[in-house]
Amino acid sequence: MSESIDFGNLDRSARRAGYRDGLLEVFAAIVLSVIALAWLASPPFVGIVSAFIVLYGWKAVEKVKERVTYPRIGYFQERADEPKSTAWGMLAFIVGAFALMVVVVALSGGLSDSAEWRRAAPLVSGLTLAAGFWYAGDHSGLLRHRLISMYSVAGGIALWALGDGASCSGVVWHLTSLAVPLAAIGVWAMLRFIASHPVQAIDG
Amino acid sequence: MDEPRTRIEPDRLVHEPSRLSILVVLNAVEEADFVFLQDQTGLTKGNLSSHSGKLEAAGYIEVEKMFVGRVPRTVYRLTEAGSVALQSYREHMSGVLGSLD
Repeated sequence: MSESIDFGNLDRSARRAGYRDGLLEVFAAIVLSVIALAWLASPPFVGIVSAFIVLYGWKAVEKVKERVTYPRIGYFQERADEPKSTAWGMLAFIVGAFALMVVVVALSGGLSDSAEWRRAAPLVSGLTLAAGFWYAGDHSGLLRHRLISMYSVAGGIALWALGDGASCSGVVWHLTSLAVPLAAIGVWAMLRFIASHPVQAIDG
Repeated sequence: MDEPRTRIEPDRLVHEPSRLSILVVLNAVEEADFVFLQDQTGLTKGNLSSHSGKLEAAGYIEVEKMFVGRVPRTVYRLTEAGSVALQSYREHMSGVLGSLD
């Protein structure tokens, strides 16, 4: 071991270990694709699909980690010691995104116009997904999470500006336009992770 | 003469860089196995075993041996005493180094 140890770096490295394998991006891409498909099939179906993913999705991720991540860098569980202010901050942001949607709809056509609600929906999905990835970026320290966050906002604004509100295609396009680069980034990160971390001997 | 020495004396168990590395890593995660600790700290197996044994004996970390399927896994966790010791050490060193100004 080196004589000089950067303990701050050691702390950050351990906290960010869970983001190295690209699984977060791959999982997010799958979730967004499934929600987009559910939205296309039937919007009320989205709630059921989302609940199913929340309940069982992370179990699938954990299974993949057992096979891909832990044999390479060892087993670990992230610390779940988020301050309550973080959860409240996220909630406030999502409520703010919906409030912005209401203001935009009110200004552009009137609250009773359902086409304007559909047109503004990508704004909400853009902002809420951006909040999620910005939060991930806070934890991971990875630039790609910040860039995805900004891309989500830009996509939401663009789809709102270009949309006509005739259908829910704005949200579907937004989710799909995020899922595709997320899948590519996740697979790229996972391949790099696998290539740079050979499977290690099992500890006893 | 004893008092000033006591004031600048850090917890020797925590002060050793290899053991401090182990505590820092375990403070950052909920729990971790031997491979993760080795990957993060860069310690050899022998050093990691030796230092983690001392930390366990002091009650700063706890060790649990288990099987995941048929694969053995040794899981390490920071105890409350270990967390307090690390925090005290951090404050102690900040105080000592801060007094240089």
